[in-house]
Amino acid sequence: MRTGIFIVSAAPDQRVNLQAVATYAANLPAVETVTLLDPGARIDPVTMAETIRRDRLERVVLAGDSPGHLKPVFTRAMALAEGDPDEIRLASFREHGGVVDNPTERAKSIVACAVYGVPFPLAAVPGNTPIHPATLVIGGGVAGIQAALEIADAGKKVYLVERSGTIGGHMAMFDKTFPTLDCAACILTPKMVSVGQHQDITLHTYAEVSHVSGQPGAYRVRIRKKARRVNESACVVCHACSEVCPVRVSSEFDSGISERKAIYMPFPQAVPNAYLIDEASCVYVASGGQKCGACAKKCPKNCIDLDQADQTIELEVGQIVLATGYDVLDARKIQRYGYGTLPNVLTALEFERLTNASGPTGGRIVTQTKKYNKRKQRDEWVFDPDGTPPRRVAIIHCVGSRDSNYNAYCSRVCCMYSLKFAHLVKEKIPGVECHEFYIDMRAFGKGYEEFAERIKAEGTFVVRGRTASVTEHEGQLIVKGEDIVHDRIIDFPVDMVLLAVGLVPAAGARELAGLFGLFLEEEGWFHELNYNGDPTDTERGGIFVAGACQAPKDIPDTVAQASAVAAGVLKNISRGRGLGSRSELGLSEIEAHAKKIVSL
Amino acid sequence: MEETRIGVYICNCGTNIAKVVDCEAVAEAMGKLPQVTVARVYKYMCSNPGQDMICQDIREHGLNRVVVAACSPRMHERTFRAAVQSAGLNPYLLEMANIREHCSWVHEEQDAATAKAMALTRSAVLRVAKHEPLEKMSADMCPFTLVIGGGIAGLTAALELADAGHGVYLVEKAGQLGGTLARDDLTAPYLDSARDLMTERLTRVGQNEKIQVFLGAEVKKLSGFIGNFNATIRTAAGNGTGEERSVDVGSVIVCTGYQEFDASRITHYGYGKLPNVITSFEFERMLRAGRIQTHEGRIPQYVAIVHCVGSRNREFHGYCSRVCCMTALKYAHEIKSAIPGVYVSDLYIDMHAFGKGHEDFYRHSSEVKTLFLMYGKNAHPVIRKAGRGDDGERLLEVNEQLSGEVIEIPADLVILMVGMEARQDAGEVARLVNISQDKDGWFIESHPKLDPVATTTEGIFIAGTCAAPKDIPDSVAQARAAAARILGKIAKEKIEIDAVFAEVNEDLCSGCRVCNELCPYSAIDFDPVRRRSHINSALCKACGACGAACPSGAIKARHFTDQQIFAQIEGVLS
Amino acid sequence: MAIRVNPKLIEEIEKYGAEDVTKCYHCGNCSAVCPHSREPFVFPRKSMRNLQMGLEDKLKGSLEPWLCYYCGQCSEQCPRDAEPGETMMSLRRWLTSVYDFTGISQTFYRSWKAELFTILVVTVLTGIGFFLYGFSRGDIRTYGGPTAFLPSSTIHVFDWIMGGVLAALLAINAGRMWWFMVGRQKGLRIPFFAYLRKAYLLPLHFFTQKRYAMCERKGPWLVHLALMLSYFAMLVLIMFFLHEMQAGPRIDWRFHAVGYVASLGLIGATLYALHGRWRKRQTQYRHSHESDWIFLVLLLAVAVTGVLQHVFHRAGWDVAANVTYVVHLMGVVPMLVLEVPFSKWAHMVYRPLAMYFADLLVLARADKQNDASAELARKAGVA
Repeated sequence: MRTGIFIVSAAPDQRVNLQAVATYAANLPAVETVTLLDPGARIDPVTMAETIRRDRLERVVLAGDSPGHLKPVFTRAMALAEGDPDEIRLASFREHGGVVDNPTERAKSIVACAVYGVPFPLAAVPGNTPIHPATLVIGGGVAGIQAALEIADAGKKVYLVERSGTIGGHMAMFDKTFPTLDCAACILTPKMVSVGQHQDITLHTYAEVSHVSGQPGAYRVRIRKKARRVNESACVVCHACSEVCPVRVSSEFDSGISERKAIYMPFPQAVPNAYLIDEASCVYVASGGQKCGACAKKCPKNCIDLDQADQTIELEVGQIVLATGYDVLDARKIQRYGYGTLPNVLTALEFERLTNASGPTGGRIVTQTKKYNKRKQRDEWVFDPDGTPPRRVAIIHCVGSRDSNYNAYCSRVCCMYSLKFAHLVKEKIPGVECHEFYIDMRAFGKGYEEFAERIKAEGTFVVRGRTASVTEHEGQLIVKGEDIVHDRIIDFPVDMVLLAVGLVPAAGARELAGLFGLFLEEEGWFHELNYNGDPTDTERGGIFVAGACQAPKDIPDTVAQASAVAAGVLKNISRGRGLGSRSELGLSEIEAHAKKIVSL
Repeated sequence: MEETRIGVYICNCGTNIAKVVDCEAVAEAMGKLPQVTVARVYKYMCSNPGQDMICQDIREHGLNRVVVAACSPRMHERTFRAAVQSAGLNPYLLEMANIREHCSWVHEEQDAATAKAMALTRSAVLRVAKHEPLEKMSADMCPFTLVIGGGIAGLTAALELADAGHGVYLVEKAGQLGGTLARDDLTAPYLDSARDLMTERLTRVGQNEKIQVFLGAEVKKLSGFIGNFNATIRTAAGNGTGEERSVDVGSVIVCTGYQEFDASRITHYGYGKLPNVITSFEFERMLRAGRIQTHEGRIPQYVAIVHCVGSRNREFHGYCSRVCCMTALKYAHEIKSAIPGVYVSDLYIDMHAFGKGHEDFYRHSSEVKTLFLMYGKNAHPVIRKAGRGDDGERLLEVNEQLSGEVIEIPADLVILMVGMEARQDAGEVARLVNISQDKDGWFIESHPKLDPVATTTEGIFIAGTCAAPKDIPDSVAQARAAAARILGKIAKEKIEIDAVFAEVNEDLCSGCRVCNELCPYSAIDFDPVRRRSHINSALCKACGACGAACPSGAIKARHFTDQQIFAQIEGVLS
Repeated sequence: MAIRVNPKLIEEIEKYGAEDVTKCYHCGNCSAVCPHSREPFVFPRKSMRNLQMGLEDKLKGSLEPWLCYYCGQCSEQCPRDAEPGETMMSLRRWLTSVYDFTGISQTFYRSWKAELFTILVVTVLTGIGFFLYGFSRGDIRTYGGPTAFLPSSTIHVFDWIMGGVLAALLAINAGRMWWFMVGRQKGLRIPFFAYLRKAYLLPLHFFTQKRYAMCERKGPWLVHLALMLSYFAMLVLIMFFLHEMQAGPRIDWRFHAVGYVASLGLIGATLYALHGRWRKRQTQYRHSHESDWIFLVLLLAVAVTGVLQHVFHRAGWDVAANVTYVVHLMGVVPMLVLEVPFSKWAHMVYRPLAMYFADLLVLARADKQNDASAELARKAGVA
């Protein structure tokens, strides 16, 4: 089949040596012409049709970073030249591993497959490797929990490693979940508990992966367990220790709107259900054992070992699931919203805790009040359970999302949780006025659009237009924005502003990627093996990604992905062998394989 | 018969219950009841310490009955049953009183709510006293799986199972595999080849001897229960006389996909009447053929793309079809690249570019000068025939939201982005495999968040667009999720059957067969020889319909005996 | 009646420098940050929208572009780098060509080559003209007095003729501007005395640029004010006291002072702008249309030659003084004849006018509403 190859220049950084690819491609069977197209050049179907006719091409291969954008031109050209439009093949470097160790070699093999007319994933199948039956799940959020349970319920061994002192992740912090409004804790805690109790799950909290070796199917993972300084199994959560602890630091779980002690429970339903000591703030640790130590003296079951040291453990696992989730954008970056300087400008997570029954105000939505802090001897803005509820609330969408100055991407969940906020505010504060400032209302999921309609029906004002600024005038917050649909500038006072902050990759994702030899997108999300076909696999054999660490995702999609990963894991275990890494495959192997498939 | 020692546990559920119900008072009142040994209150009963408290009491006070007054049993019955079991108590000696959904969440008046909470808890106490220990049973798990639908979801699910070494029957209604995706050329947002994806899946399915494909086939009958289904597959042979084949499977994955909205239902778009008003699927065909042209064969100079056709509006479907926005952007892009100098306008309501790479794609299509026009929900554009001297052959009139102007725009070709809707035959499928549909006809998952692929019928799973509109990656993920569930079950080899079901006392049964027709789970069959009805315990969901209907009182629902129910009623009323 | 969208217009206006308009996805951030954007004149987003959709008539009659001073806030915060500020700038260029009935302005903005060529032609002709005139009757060695190479009296007359022509041209274009913005709008009547009552706005805005001062950064406003005041001072000196300046050897110290300050202002401001456009640091200087460069360079040349001839004259080198004088005129003439009516300079007339009209329109709308309510009241009274 007379084939013509057109190569569109790859990404600006020129990872791929196009010249080399071209020379290689020219020697492939049936290849008549290889043309390097200038990315800037306007490519016109008519002239292309002439080329096709002139060279009597029967098949055209478009190669490049994402050559798809040229396909319509050539399909039309092929039609004009009375050829078969189905014979336009794509060789997309980005799709099949634009970011790999040796992009040029990979590019060559991708082109080869296209020339043979074989889908790359079909030809680039790495060899089988024996699989160790145990699996390591990194990250104890809802994704990690779901994956771990799914695998363990099949009777397979799972190690779950979580960086913080408890599993649960962000979902445990939420109050209610859209669009069904069932409370997050109510649906998550049962799963957390069963992870804690499951005979096939070994839980390592307060621990991090420090080193990885071995190959697909047989990985050796070194894990650094930070000293918890409290005996997990012995602790009965009698709170005696925290009562005597003199230290007060802001609570991560309440995302800073309340305080905890240096020895603390992240939250009542934490799993494992035991205290831990935060060495960063503990007086005893800081003073090298000179000062304090009150908790240890007080503990009735003396299960506190203040001098406990970090320990390192080695795990043998066959497969690894990354479910490291996300962080929220630091709203301080966007000065014009005044977060951090103005009281009562809250981020989404802060509000989740504020409105949460187990939060510092017992679920009352109140504005901050100035209180004198005796210890620090200065006035502080605090959330007082008896504080006054806001009369007017503004919710700002796309904070740091869809914005080339911060995150160009859409964070996918903010629209819906903002609408949920509006509902909670309306539900808890009679007569409150609630305004949503949005750009596009992205209510795409099952039951989402209906939810959005319901919120509007409840009397929340949705304003199409992004808020430009939040300022303070005589102690009153002022939001300013354009109400586009009603063609006016909105400039009015509110008592509370909720910032729908976007999602960013979890801190340390880059390091992890380095450890596992995985690749990241520019934004820092994990790069999946194939966007459409294999959304949860990676270039490395036996290593999977699930949930928000691959890209922002809501709970149902995260859960689906986590289970999907489990399928991959269980499949390999039941076969006793799994696929190796694609990167092991040499050009010649892939080409040979492609040839074989064609001959079949 | 040992004496009954009941422990009563009242949950605050943070403030969910405590803010309305005086839990302490309830505990106190319950403590006074006969046979109640302990009555306690705790902030979160479901938490580890809460559960430990119960277990400890069982051991220390020798409790042999437990009542937990908390949220709905749907939420935590499993949790607490597991807890009491871990303390050596038969899980069926636990009863829950729902004082959250049924009480604190729906009442404001403190005293009344507390009184009601007491009544509910009391009835649970009286009931639990009448409970009998029941034993779960187990059945074999057949390792074969039936996959209904050969689209991307079905293919992926089948491959996942087959690659694990388990047999799959893949049933496709149409003459060939591929489903709706097979029609597509490129995929948004990265413009990757949909066809390569399809070819890859199809080849792998073809090469996998574990997968048996039935084309032009339908599942006519499905009987049995999880792990032990029997399906009758009917293949329409060439000469019309089909042949039937019965297969044993352990689980079923439904991946029947969607059908496109019929655009002619929206009269003012004039689809079907006006030439050059076409649907997205018709346009996809043009793209593949490389012939984007009006029906007169001219190259269009103005193309208009209309979003949300049949989606997001009161008249037709309230929901968003999730994929059209990106597909529309894809079209805009493809038209621009195929026809240099063409003007593309894109009429949308909200631009749903939410996924990975989506926003970039949106940005890019505006950089290449796609004209985005925003119209209001339920204020759809009107398509008119253009007059002489107008550039285009049609005129779209729309109240443009971002400018506040009523504008008109010429178009030689109008593409309607028709939404997804549940297939016509979804109802049949639902009945066949005995799962339910929501108001829009989509299949309902067992939990919208934490269990998106399972259904209320054990062993029946749903994946892909038959559950709700979805794009390719999400469908693929769901298909694999379903496979994971099944792989887990197969690995276990056995499946547990709930001990709660109805049974027929054959001495009393008159063989009137009233119950046979009533049973919504078709769990009752009739033995014509002995003229007695018999209930398949594994299929029975203990709904009680038969028990209520049985004229000779021969049917007893375990765990829902008359004495238990009477005790419960007495408890509420006293 | 629905307005017809014209997707082609944007291609036209791109020639005037609009580059990234289509990137805008209408979050409205720009309109909200701009201190000038207030009902009923909400911009720049609205203008971007009309431009995207090619609503030519609306744009022609829009005065929003003239209310913008391009402080750059909008462009800096724009989440899609759609450069609203630059769009407004381009619209100002386009509007200038719309107002200009001769079509010269359009030619200049669309092709810098044409502009440059015309300028050169005029420059050369001016040169030739004045040299011929000078040699025909004057003495290249004398700068001042009756036997001067270019006697102030002649130049003076020449100045006034040129001024008259300019004034006429600008007046006509200003008239067209009025027609697009106010005149052709149906059902909008502005009482004549309102025009008078509001007339003070013209000099006010012209001399204070007070709206510019509303922008967050004050620096650009000061520079701009300095530039245009210096320019105006020079204009006055030349128009009314030319003989004073050319009279040698002693000049009244007041003219001296004004002259020096103005020259400094002109040169300083021009250099500042040139440097800014070169470095592209400040948002308002990131994008430069060819016309911006031509204008600045020309202005600098004129200012410098002006100063030089003065210096030479004071130094007693009359030959050099006369030669630079002609060179100076070779810059002044094209600048006044071409730049002022047909290019960037024209904004010194259009801007104050636009603000004047803006107030009138607000007034008119208010009246309209009052009438409407009065009408209602009357009806109610009858009922």
